[in-house]
Amino acid sequence: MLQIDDLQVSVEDRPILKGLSLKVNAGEIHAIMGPNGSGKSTLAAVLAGREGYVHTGGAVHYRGQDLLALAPEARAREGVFLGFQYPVEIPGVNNVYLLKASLNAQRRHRGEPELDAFEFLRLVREQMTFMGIPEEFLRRSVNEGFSGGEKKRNEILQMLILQPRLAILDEIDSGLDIDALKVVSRGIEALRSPDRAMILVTHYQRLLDYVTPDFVHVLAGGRIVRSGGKELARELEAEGYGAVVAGAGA
Amino acid sequence: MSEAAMAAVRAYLDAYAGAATPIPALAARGAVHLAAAGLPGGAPESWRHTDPGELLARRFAVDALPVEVDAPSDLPQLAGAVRRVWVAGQPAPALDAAELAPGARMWALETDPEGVGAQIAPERDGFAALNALGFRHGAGLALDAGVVLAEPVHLLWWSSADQPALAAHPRVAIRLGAHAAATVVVHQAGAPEAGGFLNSAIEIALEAGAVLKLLVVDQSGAGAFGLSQVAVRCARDSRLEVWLIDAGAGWVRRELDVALAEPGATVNLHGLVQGRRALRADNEIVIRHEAPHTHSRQQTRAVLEDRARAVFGGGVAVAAGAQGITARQGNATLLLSRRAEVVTRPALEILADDVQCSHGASVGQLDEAALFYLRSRGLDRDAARALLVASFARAALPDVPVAGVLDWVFDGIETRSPVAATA
Ligand SMILES: Nc1ncnc2c1ncn2[C@@H]1O[C@H](COP(=O)(O)OP(=O)(O)OP(=O)(O)O)[C@@H](O)[C@H]1O
Ligand SMILES: [Mg+2]
Repeated sequence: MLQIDDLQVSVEDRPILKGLSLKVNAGEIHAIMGPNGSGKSTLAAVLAGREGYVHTGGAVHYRGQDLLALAPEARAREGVFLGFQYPVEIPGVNNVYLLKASLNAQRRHRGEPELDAFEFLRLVREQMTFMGIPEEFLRRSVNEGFSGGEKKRNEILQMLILQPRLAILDEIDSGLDIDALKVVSRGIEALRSPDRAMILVTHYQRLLDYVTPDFVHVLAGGRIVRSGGKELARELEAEGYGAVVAGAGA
Repeated sequence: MSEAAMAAVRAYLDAYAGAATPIPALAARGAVHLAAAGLPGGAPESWRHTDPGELLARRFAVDALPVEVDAPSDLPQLAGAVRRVWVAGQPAPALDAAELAPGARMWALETDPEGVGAQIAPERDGFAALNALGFRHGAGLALDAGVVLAEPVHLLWWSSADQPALAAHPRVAIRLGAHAAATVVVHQAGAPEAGGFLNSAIEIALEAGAVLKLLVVDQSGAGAFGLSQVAVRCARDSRLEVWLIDAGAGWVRRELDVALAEPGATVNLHGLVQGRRALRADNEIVIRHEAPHTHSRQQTRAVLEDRARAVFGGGVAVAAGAQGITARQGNATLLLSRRAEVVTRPALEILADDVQCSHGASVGQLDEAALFYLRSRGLDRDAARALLVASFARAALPDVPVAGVLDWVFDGIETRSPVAATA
């Protein structure tokens, strides 16, 4: 599904990703952990196509295509979804309007008919109930005035409606209380399927208690310095990044 | 006065000399003052950022050709509105629609000019003098005490491409009796290729407790010049809600002067300049807090593309003894092109001490983070951009009482919930 080879990316002439390689197959969930400032969000942003990141080396292939050559919207329509660490507030643009525009952009791209307002609302209401998002959010502007936890739930709501093939969730668990964490985890689990893949960026084992990853990677200094199974996350939690990263000889 | 201004004054005086006019005394005062004051002949400060040179260099015809009675297919409509139309400054009764409810009266101002000039005297400045001199047709609207008009009144000045570039000097008089309420759309629009100069004077008086919702909309084409002077007097506890909307492509200047003359009077003003191509829009707003416990709020926004230019002059004058007033002013501008420009010029004159005045202005570009967020959800760049621009602009015009006006302005770009439409 996703193959990253020796990826090098700079921001404002400063190298951030320094030869990162990662392979994600359909059906897999990968967790990426690592110290603050190690480049986790940079990786997520580069995969989603944010401007301002200069690709200086390496390659990224997504379902056989050169992912970095695609515009952000083209990536989205091809099934790449980024759950933002800090979802953006967009006053004046209605939350549901955005959902509908996104879904229809994707459906048009796939040659499917647009959903009519009635079908669409049925779908949204169903997923909102599943995510425990109150009805009044139908009328609010995108993320405007949402609490941290509400923003994260809204990201997952968008994900459930768009049904991406590859979801990259950047610290989707940060700032969630335990109930919200359970709901968000349930949303992630609902999307798990043999033909989808997910990358979860997180600092905490507690998300991984609810969503069991197939692989855990440690990103430090712009590179994946260690990879393992779900037990690696526990080791990190117990010993801290320092020991694990040093142990890897990085 | 500049050479060009003197030449313009002479040309206007010659063009109107000896012509038949509905109010000869007013026209005579206009001629005298125009010759004396020249053009623009008003407060120089308010003209500091708008060059009248382009307007003064132009010569316009003063006599319209007979008006084509067929409704142009692009004539803007408002469902359910009581409509009066002037084409090239002349009444076009064939395009009028609907009659007023009892207790409300609308008339051709030239047939009954009682009170005309009381608020905008020919001596106010050169353009007011020119209006007095060239005034031919206008609209009067009066509501008896307590009358509440359900339907909006749509006064449309349409510039037709079939006419030569014409100067016209319409007047409007609106008088609302005590506790009367009305919604009025004063609208200038035209075929994109139509030129001309509309120099309007709009006099409005609100009696105690009256409520006027006034939408002033300009959608004139690139070759059009529009100058309107609007004077409003608000009596005790009356309320003026204004939406100033510039969505044309020409040269537009509006001078709005609101006197909050008695306690409890309130004005709430919203403005949007939707600037494309070479639109030059200047909104000069003066709010006079003449009495204690009067309140004003001005929130204006501009979205400027291409070479568009917007000027906002926001004046607040608080008279001595006008205690307990609040006056707020704010402007936010989205600059979408390097060649676009905005000037905000707050002017405060406060002679009382128990007052709360605030002013804020911001200029910014499109939020890149928001743009990326939308694109990451599959919206293409142009759609995302249009959505952000439209949402910024829509927020400038809250609570518009006639939804059809927003459709004129936003070309159908929707940012609202699809739920609202189905719920
Ligand atoms: N737009 C930018 N301009 C300048 N520096 C940037 C920019 N974006 C990221 N960086 C820098 O790149 C480095 C990696 O940042 P990134 O956000 O990817 O880290 P992270 O691993 O997600 O950290 P955290 O765990 O705190 O979220 C940091 O040093 C950061 O300051
Ligand atoms: Mg991060």
